[in-house]
Amino acid sequence: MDISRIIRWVVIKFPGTTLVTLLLLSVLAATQLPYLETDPSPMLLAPDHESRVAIRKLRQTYTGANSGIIVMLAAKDTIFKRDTLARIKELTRAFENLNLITQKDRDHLISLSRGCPADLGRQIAKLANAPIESDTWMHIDEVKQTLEFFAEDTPTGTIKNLTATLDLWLEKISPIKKVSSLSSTDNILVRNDRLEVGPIYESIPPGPDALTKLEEEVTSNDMFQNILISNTSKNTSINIELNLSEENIKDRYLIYKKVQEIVENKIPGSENHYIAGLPAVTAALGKVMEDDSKKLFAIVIFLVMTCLLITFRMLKGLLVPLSVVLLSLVVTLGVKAFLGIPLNIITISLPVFILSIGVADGIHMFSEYRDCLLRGLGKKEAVEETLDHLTMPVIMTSLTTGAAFYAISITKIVQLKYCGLFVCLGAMVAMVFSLFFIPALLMLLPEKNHHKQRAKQKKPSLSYIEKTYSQFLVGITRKALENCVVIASLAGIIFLVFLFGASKVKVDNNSVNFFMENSDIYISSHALNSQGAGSSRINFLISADSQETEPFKRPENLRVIKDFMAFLNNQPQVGKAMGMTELIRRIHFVLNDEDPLFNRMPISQNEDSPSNHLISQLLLLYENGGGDALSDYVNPDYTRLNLPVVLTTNSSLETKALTDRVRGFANQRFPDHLSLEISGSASIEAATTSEIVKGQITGLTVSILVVLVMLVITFRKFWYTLIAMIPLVMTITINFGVMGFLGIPLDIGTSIISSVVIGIGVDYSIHYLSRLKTNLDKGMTFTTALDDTVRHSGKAIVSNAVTVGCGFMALWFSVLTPLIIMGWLISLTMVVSALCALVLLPVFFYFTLPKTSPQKISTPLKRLEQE
Amino acid sequence: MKFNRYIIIFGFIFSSLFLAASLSFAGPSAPGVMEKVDDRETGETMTSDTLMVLISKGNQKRRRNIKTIRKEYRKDTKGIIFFVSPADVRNTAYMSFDWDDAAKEDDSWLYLPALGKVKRVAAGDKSSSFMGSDFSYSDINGIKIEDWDYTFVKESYSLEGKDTWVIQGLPKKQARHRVLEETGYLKSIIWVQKDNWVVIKAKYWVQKGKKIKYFKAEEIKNISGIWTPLKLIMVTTSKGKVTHSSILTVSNVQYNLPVKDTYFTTRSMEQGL
Repeated sequence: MDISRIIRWVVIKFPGTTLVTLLLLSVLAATQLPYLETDPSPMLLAPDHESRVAIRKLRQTYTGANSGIIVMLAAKDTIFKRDTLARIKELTRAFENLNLITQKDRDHLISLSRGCPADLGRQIAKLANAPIESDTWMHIDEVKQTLEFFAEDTPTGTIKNLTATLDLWLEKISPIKKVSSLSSTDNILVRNDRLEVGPIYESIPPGPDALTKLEEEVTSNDMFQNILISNTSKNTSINIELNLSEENIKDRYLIYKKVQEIVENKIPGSENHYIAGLPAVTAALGKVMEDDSKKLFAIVIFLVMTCLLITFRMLKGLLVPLSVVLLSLVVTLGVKAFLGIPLNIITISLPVFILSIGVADGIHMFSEYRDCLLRGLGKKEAVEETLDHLTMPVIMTSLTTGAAFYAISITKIVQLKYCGLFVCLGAMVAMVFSLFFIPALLMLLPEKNHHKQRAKQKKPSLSYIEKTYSQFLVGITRKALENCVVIASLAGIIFLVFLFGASKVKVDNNSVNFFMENSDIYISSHALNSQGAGSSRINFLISADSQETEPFKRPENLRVIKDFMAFLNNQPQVGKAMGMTELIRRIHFVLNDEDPLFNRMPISQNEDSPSNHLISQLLLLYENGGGDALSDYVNPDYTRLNLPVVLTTNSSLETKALTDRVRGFANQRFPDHLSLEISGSASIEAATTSEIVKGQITGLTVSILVVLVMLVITFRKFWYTLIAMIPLVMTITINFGVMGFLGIPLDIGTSIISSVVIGIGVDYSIHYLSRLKTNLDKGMTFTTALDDTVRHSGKAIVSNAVTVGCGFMALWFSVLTPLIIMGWLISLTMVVSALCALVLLPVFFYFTLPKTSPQKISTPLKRLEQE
Repeated sequence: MKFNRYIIIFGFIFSSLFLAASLSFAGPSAPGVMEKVDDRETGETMTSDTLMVLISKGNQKRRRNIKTIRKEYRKDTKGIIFFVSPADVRNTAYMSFDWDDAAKEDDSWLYLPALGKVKRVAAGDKSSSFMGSDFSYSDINGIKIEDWDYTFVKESYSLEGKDTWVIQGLPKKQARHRVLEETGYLKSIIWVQKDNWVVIKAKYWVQKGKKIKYFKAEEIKNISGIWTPLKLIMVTTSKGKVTHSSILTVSNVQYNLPVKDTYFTTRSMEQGL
């Protein structure tokens, strides 16, 4: 079966039908585009990944385990001032009453109230118009109860609608689970000679003495250090625990915006403020992505258009390839929208990928067509010849690109999975459009006869620039062969140097580092990490598998926990570790009149001593005193402990280093019946790191295997396959080497690069070597064959590398750091890849020629000189 | 100001007559019912044993046995609670003096046997949990009904075959802050059994955590002429889902036994059961 003949038949016989069919397909896809959503989640793993399942389990067992927005207020001198304390109190109340009710919700409720009996209607309308306050939930519940009374007088549909709407209101008025601040947290202390568990302050202390006393009370309780206050009373944090799932990006963003609005405008103050935490990161990411997706699209179009204009210097040369890639993009995004897969932080760069990679086929097709015209062929013959020459190469290169990107998708990282799949799809769509749309369009577009005339007038000639350019490429190749041993050794040295650099590449994923250094979220997160307890959370869960009841009241277990806590608090990445033992220690201390001797866990060596009952009694005292933090730290039957830890890093690399050390400690020091589990948002990031590595290894392996198979099919010769791989291996090594030397981590952005190198770089080898092979098979001498190869394939390689590299330059203008770095590295690897192909392919091919080969005997250099 | 005093006395007599009249002819008013509930005879002294079962969301149960002794001094109350089991908290004791005079802060003491000493503790807010259960101190010790506005929701409602008044309670505007502090409640609906003036069901809207608590009294027995519920259930819900519940089963209830005043001292706390 000859594919090119089929295509030729279709496009030449039915150019109009082909065009209309493809356009209709595009229009159909375009109708889906409005439904395309964005998902700015920095969560790289799917909700069913074990680390995310673990965090959901954690939240079911313990209170206080939801992720939170952290607001840090930084005063110039101290936060223990009347206006600051008043502001903290007001902020706390405002945050507690945050809600997601919109005017639309209110209007909807009012419209529903019209179908109700008068009394009920009035009650509902009142609710719909009232501001949301701390007792709104109760009024909603009241209306719900009244509904039951009026059930007989009201249509069932209305009741159902109302109940559903009211339930939605209940959800929307309570997006906040808990706000922990100086004004809402309980202190355990001795006040007026009495043990007290109560709010740190209820009214603002009236004078300097009372302020000093409050400061003493707070600073003397080390449970608050680094959580509520830090940096010697200059900073205070307010933690807003959200009731919203990680997937509910829209509402999280709304809440973040409202928090920002409250802190900045509604309740302003002299203190500096920093807003961080995972929900804030997600929200900020959403905003940035929205801005980025529009900007990147505009820039990549501009760049691609510029490239096309420079290459062809004519309107048709601009419009034909451009329309192909734009339609391919529309179809790809349309499919994405139809499948309900949102754009994520990586796939917002899909336009850049599809336009940059897809346009190459269009360029080849159009330039071949133009060459044919220049040679004096008619429109139809030119189209035929273009298809004859390029159908197989276009299919081959698209397949390799598609395969390499498909290999990226074999990972648990959601963003990469979809990036791989849809770039692969985009490459396939671009292939179909290039093969059908371009020739069909060219068949229909009118062609002036001046090509023919020019062709008749004189031999088809190249412009001065093109001539110089060809000579330059040939020159390079000659020089390379002249010094082939030097070049090969040099390549070897470069390879080894960059291999060394590659060994230094670190795998890291740091969602805060997605942002520019001058962005709010970056500044805030770093402020929290350096001046506060930190901005991310991890949870260490310890379960006891023993026959005893309530094992975590037993001294022998608590002693292990105490050591573990001490170990945790000594780790550089730990801002603060909290747990039940801290509570017990505090009560013990306070109960003994704050005698420093008793500022410890009451664990005696003699396990039968009655003092071992003290722990149970202290806990009972705490519970009875109104303390409600216990459920944050232990399950009701005291078999599982939760140690929430605030980290001063957002780096998954550092988090993983910490969790490795923690696991080591647990293996060594925990008795057999205690086991450790790690959960929390930071642990998800740590899990992400290993998934990135796994993905990178499988991705590389699969794409290399696929490429090898393709090369073997194309060349059917071992040496050719091996040589074809050399530029690829070289480029990937240099890429990783550069990353290693510059300290650029392997993350979701940079892990795509090697696949791009393989997918696109292998095309260079295929083009180059197959032309060389064909020429040699035709019986040309090595020199002539090489010369011709350089003049044709070499040029194509350079123009392709320039186009792709230029297209990816669009990413330089992103505000997301991983995309910027990816843009730079892809541009760099394109240059390296082209250079390796042009220099290393001829050199190493030359080495493989048998010594007795006539081509080898006639030294290429001399032959070239003679020519 | 003799005249004024006469007015007061006259007013008192008149209103009593009016109350009596309204009770006999038109049935009681909602505040009237609540007053009767509040004034219900509970004995000068009471001793009892209670089994507390605390049930968590995951249906994990914790059991605690306590012994309670209470004595009324007109409007003031003294009470002492001893933990009987589990063994590790046995003899832990909590004593409280509740003064009717609002200006006088209530007194509380705690004795931890493992520590071997009595510690004075702040009475704290009465809205906080009673011994880690869903009941608050105000649920156990009662509320100040004069701080509440009561209205009928239904003057006759049959609840499990018993005729009840259904009464809605809202904190009076001027007392709202105090009520919230003392009970944590925004609102309540109370079912009062008509034939014995016992609250057999209630629903409370709790401000903190936006929770709703459901109360139920079962096994109401007449002990020495006093109607006594022997099973008290409190269920806490959030957004319609049960988050925690407590069942108190009371036994060995004895009213009006002679209890010496010296029983309510820190010394007797130390002596234990």
